[in-house]
Amino acid sequence: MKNRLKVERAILNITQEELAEKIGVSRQTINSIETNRFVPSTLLALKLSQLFGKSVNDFFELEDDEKNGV
Amino acid sequence: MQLKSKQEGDIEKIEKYTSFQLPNRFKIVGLVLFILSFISVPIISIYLENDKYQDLFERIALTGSVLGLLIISISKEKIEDELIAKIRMQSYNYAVIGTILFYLIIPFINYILFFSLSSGHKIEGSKDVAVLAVLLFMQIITFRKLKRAYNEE
Repeated sequence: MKNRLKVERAILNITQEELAEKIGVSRQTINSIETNRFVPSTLLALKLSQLFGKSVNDFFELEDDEKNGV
Repeated sequence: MQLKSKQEGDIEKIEKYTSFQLPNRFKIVGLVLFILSFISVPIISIYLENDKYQDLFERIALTGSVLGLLIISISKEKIEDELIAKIRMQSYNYAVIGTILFYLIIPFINYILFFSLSSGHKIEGSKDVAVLAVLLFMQIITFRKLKRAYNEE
């Protein structure tokens, strides 16, 4: 799964720490999502969506090899 | 009011146990308990040598050290989120499988090593095997229960 979390964070001009605090997770969680080590739950994705004011699809996207069967 | 199904009850019960955590500050409590108990084992065996309570006190100290580790294990992180929950689950998984393989294999390695030195060597750790079996029974039964419960229409 690809993500544009870093870009969205830059648009809001907030640090990983600040974003983490706003959605109630640790800075490490934000970092591991940005670096594609951790796929967040739908709940967390929707919280990010609410914060960014964008649909989840705008900042999370399936990789080409993950689109099998879609 | 709708009555809860047995399955929902099962999920709730298991969640109640697995979500039980101590506050973050208990990590220090656990560490202190572990260190104190651990260093008191050799002290007890020296000062209470051949005392009728030696076994009991040694066992209390060993129990204390394991309880200390248990307290560390179930204490919360400063921020307890879904990544931490995943890491926690992975570490339990690794610990269980690792411990089982370790304790199954080590007695045989010991046996082979000592067999070459003395002929009358006995294979050790039979009680460990029972503990490993209980651990796995518990896991398999819980797994089946949860799988059924989550699948309920």
